[in-house]
Amino acid sequence: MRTYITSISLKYYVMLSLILIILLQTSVFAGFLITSGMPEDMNENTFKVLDRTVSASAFSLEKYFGGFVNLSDFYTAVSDRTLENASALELSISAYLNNSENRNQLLADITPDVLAAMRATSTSACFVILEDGNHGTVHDAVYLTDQNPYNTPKNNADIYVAIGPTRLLYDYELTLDSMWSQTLETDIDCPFYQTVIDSVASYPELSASDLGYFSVSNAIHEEDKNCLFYTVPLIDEHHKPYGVIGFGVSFNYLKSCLPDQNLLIDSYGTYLLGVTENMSRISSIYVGNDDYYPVLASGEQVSVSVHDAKYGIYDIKNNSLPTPTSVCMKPLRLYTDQSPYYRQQWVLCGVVGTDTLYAPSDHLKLVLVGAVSVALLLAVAGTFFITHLFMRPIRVLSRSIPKLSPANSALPKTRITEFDTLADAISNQNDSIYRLGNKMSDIIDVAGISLAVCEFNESEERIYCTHQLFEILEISDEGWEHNHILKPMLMGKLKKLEEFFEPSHETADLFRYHRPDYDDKWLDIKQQSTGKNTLVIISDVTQSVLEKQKILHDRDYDALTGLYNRGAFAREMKYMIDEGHCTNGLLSIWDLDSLKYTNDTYGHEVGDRYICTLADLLKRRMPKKSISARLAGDEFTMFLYDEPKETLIATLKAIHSELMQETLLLPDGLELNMSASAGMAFYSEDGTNYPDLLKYADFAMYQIKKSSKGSIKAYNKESYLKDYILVQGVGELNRLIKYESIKYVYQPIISLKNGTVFAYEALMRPISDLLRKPEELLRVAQVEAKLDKIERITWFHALKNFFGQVREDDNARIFINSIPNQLLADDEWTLIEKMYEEKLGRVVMEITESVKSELAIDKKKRAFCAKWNIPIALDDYGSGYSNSDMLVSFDFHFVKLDMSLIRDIHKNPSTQSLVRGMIEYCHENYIMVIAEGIETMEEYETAKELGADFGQGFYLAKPSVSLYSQDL
Amino acid sequence: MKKRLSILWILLLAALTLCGCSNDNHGLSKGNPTTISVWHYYNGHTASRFDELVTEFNNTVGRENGVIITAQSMSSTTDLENALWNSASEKIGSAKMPNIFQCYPDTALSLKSKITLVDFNEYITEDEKLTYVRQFLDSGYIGQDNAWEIFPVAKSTEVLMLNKTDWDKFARDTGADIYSLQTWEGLAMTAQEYYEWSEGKAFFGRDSFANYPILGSSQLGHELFNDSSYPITLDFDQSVMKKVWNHFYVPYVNGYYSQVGKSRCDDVRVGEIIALVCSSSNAAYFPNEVVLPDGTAYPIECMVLPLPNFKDTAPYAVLQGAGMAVTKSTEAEEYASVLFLKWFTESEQNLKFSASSGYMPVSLEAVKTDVISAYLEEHSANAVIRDAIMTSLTQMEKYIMYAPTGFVGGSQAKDVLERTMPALAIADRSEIENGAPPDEYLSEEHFKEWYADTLSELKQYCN
Repeated sequence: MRTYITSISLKYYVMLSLILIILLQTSVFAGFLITSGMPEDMNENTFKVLDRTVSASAFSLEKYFGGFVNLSDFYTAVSDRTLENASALELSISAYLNNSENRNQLLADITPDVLAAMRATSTSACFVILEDGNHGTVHDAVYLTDQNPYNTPKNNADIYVAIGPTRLLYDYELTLDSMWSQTLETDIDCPFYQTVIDSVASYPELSASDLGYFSVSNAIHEEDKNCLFYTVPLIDEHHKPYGVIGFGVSFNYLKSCLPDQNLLIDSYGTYLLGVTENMSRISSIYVGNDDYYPVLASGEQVSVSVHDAKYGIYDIKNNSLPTPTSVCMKPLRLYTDQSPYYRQQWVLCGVVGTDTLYAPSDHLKLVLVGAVSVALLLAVAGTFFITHLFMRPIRVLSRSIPKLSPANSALPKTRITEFDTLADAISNQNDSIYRLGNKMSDIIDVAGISLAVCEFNESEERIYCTHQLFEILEISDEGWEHNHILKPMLMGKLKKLEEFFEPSHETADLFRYHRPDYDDKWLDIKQQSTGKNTLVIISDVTQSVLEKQKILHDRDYDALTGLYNRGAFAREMKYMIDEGHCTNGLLSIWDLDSLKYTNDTYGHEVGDRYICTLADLLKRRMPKKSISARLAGDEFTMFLYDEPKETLIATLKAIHSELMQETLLLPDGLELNMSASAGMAFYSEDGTNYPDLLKYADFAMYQIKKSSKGSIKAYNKESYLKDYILVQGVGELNRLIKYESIKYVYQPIISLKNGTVFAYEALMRPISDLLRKPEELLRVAQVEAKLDKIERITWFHALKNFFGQVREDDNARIFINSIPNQLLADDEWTLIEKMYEEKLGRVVMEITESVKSELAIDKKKRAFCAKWNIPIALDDYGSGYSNSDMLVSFDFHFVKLDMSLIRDIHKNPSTQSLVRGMIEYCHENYIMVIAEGIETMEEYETAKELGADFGQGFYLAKPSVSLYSQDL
Repeated sequence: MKKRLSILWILLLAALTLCGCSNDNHGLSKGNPTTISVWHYYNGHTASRFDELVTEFNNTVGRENGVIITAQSMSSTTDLENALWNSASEKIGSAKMPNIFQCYPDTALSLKSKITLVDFNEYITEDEKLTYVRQFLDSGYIGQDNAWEIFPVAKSTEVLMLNKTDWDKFARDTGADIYSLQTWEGLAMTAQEYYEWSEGKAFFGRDSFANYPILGSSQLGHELFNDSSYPITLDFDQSVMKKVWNHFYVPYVNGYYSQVGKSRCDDVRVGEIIALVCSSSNAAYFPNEVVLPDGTAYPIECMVLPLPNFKDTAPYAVLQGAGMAVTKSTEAEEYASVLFLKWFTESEQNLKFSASSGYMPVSLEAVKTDVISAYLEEHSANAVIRDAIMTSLTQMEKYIMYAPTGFVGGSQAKDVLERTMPALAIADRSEIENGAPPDEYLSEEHFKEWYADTLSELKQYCN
């Protein structure tokens, strides 16, 4: 069973819906039952049943008691017999009974009456007790017991004589009780005897039957623990008591009259006979099960509270009961309203556990809960089972779909229209997909593309692959059909080939398929995984790889010599140095000394051979740790690395000296001695990157070539620094001059008196990476004797730019730095005069003093200045060649104090006094003073204070291409 | 209301069906107890002891298992048999057949024509059977295919009890030997001596007379009711009966033996006799004083002696005490009934009942002499009961315990034996006392007359 978080099986949808419906139904059902009031009805029924049971028992008990309460025959028989016997002896009853013999005789005589009364009333005891006139506690009596009053065997087998004269044994064939005695000893307060005897005197107006009295006492008969007695006094003619007659109902018998199990609602309940006070207290007389309810045992008292008044149900208030207990209390009518004991309210109670009153409804609730739970359980199980059953074909279908193949595109039938239609559609789809798959394979074939496609799916046993796979890999296609092959089969085949695949250095996808006895192939293997699917595309790229390799070779190798070309060498060097693949090295540049001569004299073919000779030597002699290349024409380079410096030098020198011994046979039969000059630079002492090293080695080579050909020179930093610009700058200078690649920027000169722009100084800025600074340009130009060219560019460009952009209303002057010993040609002067005429009056010529002035030239300049009224300014006064002599010897209009004087002048009082002196001197000689290089506010303040007329510097304004681009 | 009830029923049925009713309690339910009725013939003292145990059961094991026992005494075996017969026959007004009833094999066999009894083998395992005295169980196998249908609860045998106080006076004066009381012959002779010594007072009387001829007959080699073949055969041997006659009828009419009241214990109590043979279970009734008709009373001691036998015969004693049978009914009721019987015969309860009644326990554990004597000692049982039980146990060991054969008509046949000789003896003694010459009654003809009458009467009940 496959489950996804995002999709849940149809089974669960169906199941959940069904369960929800069932839940709803059960809730409604349970709700109805609970709100129908059925539990309450059941409780009331229980109360009613208890009420009726106890009432019925009370009724039958009343009737049973009534049987002997109303038995006057017994009384009459006994009193008549007594009277008769007494009369026969002509004695009063009391006199007659004074005699023991008479009493025994009487008792024997009345025994049949006692037996008869006992049988008639079904009591468990029946007795006559006689007074002997002495008011003693020992009485003659006949007391018969019957343990089973409900059973009346013919021969009185069940009658025992508990008390009675011995003669009863002989006269009536009665059995003596094991506790038999001839007389009865009554206690003083023996209620069933003494109370009754006493009542005769207390209630003289009442007849004997009205004095009948119920009491409880220890049974006379041993086997009955307790007995309920009903006794009536025997009253003689003088209304004096002469004994009692009575009945006893043993508790054992009472128990069989009031069987506990009659209390249908609680089989463990019991009956209680008692006397109540206001229905709030019960004095127990008898309880059916005093073992279980010792609290209710005879003689005990309990309080009760109303539970349900309608059915006379009360709760017993006593904590020592095993469980909460209730009684259904029904009054018993035992006494007539004549009786002195009329107020004594006897009751019969059904004692039951309070919980049993609610047992049926509790049970109903339990059953309801149980039924609902079981129904739910069944419903869930049933639903589960049914949906399981119902879903099976669908599940089988869904499992079959991934196993679809061109050979087997049939899907099992679910017999559910919708699903079958769906399955048919999937089958058809499957067929067309496979057709498509074949088509693709065919297309690839027809197109002649060597391309194989493979698709793996983790959960599928079969792999899709085109037949080209086997063609490309040159393996058998056994097991392949319909564009599919079993996974283990393909894996087995591929496993064997695994060792033949070598990854290429170039890309991760490219492999060299190097199989013995087969041509090498280059395969591009691309893989793409989406989820459990992996798509692998293998293309045979052998041809393109080989082509590419050829192109690469052509790109990297010099066609003539077979050595690396410049680009490849640069790449290799980058790899070695920049990427840190060597720790030290020696880069040398070689230049064949007389190639130009050879070329010119013998032709290029010989020149080429001349080149090849060196190349062959290099190839032949190159140690392992080296790279060599032909940089251009007659220039070669060689990089030796990872050896001690001495070894590297020795190796290089050895190769060089070998070359020097080589000769080239010329067409004219002469031999040309090979000669090359080489410069070398060390990595990493001299430089840490290839361009630098190359530059340095080249420099060294250039140097040696200029001095002595055919030898080797190492790079020297000092000479490089000194001559580099000169060496390198020549070309650059030429270029700058040729293209006039010099621009001019203008730095304002500000009046320190009023802050206005007094003039602009045109500053030269060569447009060059090599000769960035004007000083460098001038130096090279000086060496190359091309200062005149610079002077000319300065004049033309600086003026052109300035006047090109200066506003009409701006009368600012322009300071031009004229190179001291350079002078424009006459025609150039003429051109300038022609171009600017009057405007030349705004020009100030600044004399730079880097070189000692050549007076002749300066005279000419001065003549020019005088002609056009051009003032002259002395630059950098206070440094270099400028000195007070110059101030005197030349007629300057302006003096520019060198910036070294102005730097931190506010901190330096001595400089301040020097400058003050200079300014005073200048002013005395009518020379205006310009403070150069003011870079801070303090310097500005100090210069101003010292009396400088003008100021120039970054603090005031920076040089700029345009005049008005900045605020001042 | 009806509708609601039917809904309730459906629910209840569903719940019952689903919750399953199968448990190992055989359908008993604590909340809905099963009431089991027991009918027995125990009387007076013994009945009270029985009721006490019933109450104890109801409040303990019964309450735990949902069983309530209601016991009812039917006063005597006869009354019990009648009541059972009425109920089994479903006579109008008769009570419902009790679940458990006390009965002898005879009664059970008769009732089986009307009702079915439970085979205890269904409820009691072989292991459990081993906890009972084998011999007591055996008499309960009365059904076909060895069905065990009577469960022993308490057993008794007959013993000789003696008013030792009066015997001692007699023995002191006459030198009478207590050992003479070991045989019927010796007993009769001693009775004569006593009669003469006491100037006309009877010495001996016995209860359950039928046991005397039945046991005597067996002792003398004639199984009266021979059940070795079916149907039962009667072996009422004249010479054996003559010997029985000579040692009961003859002393009786001579005034050496007597019976007045219903029970011989009562006769001892009123000073009529001083020795008696009765069931050990009557021990509780043996008086501790003699009350003379004039009201004078004196305390007496009791001595329990083994049952006498005919001289030079193997000693036989009856094994009696009816067992309990269970009426076939529902499984719950049957199981509950057996549960009670098993509980009642567990060692502790068995001892308790024995110690207070004079019956012998049936549990193998409880019947051990040391166990029972320790128990009696500990619970300071009545001395007479104690002696009766111990003597019974001695008899169990040394006597051949005779369990009367049960057969249909057996009760009636035994009743014939029970009745005829004592009734004749009482009547004839009364004639003699009234002046009739004794010789007429002691003649062979008189015996034969009785023999012939009795035989014909017996033949009504056996072949």
